[in-house]
Amino acid sequence: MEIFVVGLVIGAALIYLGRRAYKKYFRKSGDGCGGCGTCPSSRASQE
Amino acid sequence: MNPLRTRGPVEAEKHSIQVALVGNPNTGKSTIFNRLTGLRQRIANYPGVTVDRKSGRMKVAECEIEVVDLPGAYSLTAISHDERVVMDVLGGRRNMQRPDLLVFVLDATNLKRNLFLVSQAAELGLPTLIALNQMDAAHHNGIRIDSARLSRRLGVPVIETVGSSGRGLAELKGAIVEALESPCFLPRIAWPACISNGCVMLRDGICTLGCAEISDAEILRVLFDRESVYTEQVQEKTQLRELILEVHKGIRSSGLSPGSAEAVLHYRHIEALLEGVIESSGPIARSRESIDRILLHRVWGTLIFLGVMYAIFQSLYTWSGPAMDLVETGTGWAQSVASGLLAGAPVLQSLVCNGILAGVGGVLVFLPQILLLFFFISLLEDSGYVARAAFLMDKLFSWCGLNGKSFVPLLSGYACAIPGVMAARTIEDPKARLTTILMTPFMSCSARLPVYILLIGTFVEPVYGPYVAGATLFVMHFVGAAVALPLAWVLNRFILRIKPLPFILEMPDYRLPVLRNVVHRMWERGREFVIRAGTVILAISIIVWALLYFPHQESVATQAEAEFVQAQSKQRPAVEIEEALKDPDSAISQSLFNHVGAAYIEQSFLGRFGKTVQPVFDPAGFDWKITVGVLSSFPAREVIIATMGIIYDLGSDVDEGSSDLRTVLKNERWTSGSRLGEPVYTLPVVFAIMVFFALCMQCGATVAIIAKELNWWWATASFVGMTVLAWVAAVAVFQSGRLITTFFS
Amino acid sequence: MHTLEMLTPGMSARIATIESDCGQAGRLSSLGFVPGQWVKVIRLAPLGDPLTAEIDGQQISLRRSEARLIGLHPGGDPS
Repeated sequence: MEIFVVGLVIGAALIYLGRRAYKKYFRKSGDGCGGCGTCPSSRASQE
Repeated sequence: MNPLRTRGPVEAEKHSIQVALVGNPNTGKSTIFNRLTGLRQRIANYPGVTVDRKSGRMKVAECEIEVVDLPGAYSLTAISHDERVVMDVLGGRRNMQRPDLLVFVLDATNLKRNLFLVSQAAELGLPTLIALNQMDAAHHNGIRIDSARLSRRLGVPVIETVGSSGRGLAELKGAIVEALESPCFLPRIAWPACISNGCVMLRDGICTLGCAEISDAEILRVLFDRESVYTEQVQEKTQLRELILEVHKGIRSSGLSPGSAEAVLHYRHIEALLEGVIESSGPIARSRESIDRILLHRVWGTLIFLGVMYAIFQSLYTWSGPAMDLVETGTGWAQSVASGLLAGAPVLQSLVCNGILAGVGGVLVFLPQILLLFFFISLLEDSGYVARAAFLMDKLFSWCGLNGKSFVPLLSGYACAIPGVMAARTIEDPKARLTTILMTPFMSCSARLPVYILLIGTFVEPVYGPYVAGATLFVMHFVGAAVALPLAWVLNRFILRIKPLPFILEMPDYRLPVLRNVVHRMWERGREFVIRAGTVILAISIIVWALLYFPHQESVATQAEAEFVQAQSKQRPAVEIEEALKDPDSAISQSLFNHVGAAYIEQSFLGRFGKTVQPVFDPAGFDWKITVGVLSSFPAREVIIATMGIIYDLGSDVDEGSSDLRTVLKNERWTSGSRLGEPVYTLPVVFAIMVFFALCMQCGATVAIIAKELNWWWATASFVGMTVLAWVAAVAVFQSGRLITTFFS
Repeated sequence: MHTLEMLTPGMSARIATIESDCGQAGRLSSLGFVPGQWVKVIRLAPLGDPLTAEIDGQQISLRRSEARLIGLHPGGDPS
């Protein structure tokens, strides 16, 4: 039973990463990033 | 019944009412935005570009109005990404909704130049309202502005505001509501014949060339900017270019120069507008002069700059200690609770305690540092110092094919290579762009920060004190740049030979940062860090845990136990050992537990892989656990912390919660090979690891973005090149470090 | 041709022309660098480049290569 839960968690992690990789590496969407979340973009010029 | 039903050209029922804040950079626009929307803000993306779309909701008279803070722009000529976005939004391109009202935020201390954008925007024919901001600074500088007269001349309301204190905001809100009900428009400039005729000619020409409808404002852009995104659809570019040159000839024949005609005419118009509006008592005495004399002094300025940078890194050590301890205790507590609850399910228990909690907790412990770092960065940005830093650094950057302005996104990130790579889009010269993109990953990234802090905090600080530790952190951040600069210089000088990049930057007045804004931005960063930790790092931690756990074969435990008992029996009688083992809390039992745990990890998938690859990293002094950590961090740097948490934690007593990672690291010893019995983490190894991280591209997102901005060839080359370089440097550092330590001992 | 690049810190002069076949000219002129304006050089960066110019009450930093685009009337005011 617990192996099932563990397997589920691992599977979810894999799927999550897989989808992220697919979005970033293969799609030509306009949003460049989606990565680290530490992006300042043009914050300095917002002022 | 909607009290804001506009009688203007836009119907309120079809969409939400949108008010756009427009203005030059450094006008305090964001402060006003924050005051209008409070905390009800959202950051999204504009389609196709990497510019933040800041929007919020303003509640007034039972209505909710959407307020959009457009990026700062000096002109509607789309030179930078930000300006392109402004023109796109105001022109309603890319299916974006045109704002129902434009609120210009102008800097009262620089009114003339600020009006340039206003004058240009008049062509757009949108309802307008003006907020004359920073009135306090103007007053301080002896500038008096007759806003009533200005309002009459411009034909739109002018509200005096002081964003930082909130003065005038109530009136501004009221004026916004009023302007939505009865809009006012700016008068258009009276163009001379050469230009108005030119516009007609251009419009006819473009229509015959098959371009879709193009507005007056856009035609002017095409006329003045020559290359324009508004004529992208036109196929016959040469015909278009010839047409534009024809028009330019016409302009020239009336005595104007086409390149500066727009500015000359607008400023003439503005000067007429400002007759009698501004009075300044004597020469404008600006505080910035005396401050700049020191801060931009050839010698003192540079020293102060380095000093400020050093102070920031130093404080990351001395001030975040207690907070870090708090997080560590919290993680430990969570682990012991979880291990108690899941005692009956050992695999799940391990996943939760040693995988998830150890992994994510290990990364979250750095949240205090991240917050502190971004606090300082926001402070520097808002005070106006960053422009000075860019000025000081520009020459250095120009050697790399970047310019001083890159310093701004790189510092304000100290975060990520990705903004630098994307900012490179605005560089027209393809070779310069290439260099910029290749050099950016060398700039230190906040994901490296946890690695540096962990290692420096464990191995440098206890021995050499906090000041040396701070200095080391400071130096590590410049290792990347120190390597990138000569490389870039070589690249530019001998291989690519590129022209220098443009650099035009305004030196704003020094301002006292508004604490609310600074804290708000710091908080945003912290939130993004936590979210990343909770998503990507969490997912990778789970996978790393799984690879370090399975296959969990019983035979491994049996064998390890046998080995352990055998080793122990050399030191004490067998009977004593058996007795001690019956007690799970005895020192020997703990020791056995750790030993078995370590054996399990060694036999796991990742462990076996690490041991196979370890000889590659042996010259750099890495043992297999470090190798595993390094390898697992290729998707994202912080994962090494999570991995180490998992590797070392799995070998520790789960009941008591996680043992201090730092203590464990200090006590690690080689279990095989040439250095058997010696400590794994000596100073040369520690520096080798840090240097490796400084120079290696361990960021899947960066590889992806380079592939997108250039192509996969460059992305791969960059990745391989940096990895090799990192390896070489790590080996060099380790070997020379070892030589130095043996020489001195 | 007397250009902005040739001014030393403390000197000022009036702008005569802006070389307009460059993208930079557009940015410079929108910031207020138009013929007829007085411009003064305030200082140079530690490595000699870029320089800070004061025009119309604002300070703008630009590289020597860009300053070269701005032609000046002879006979400034070395105040």
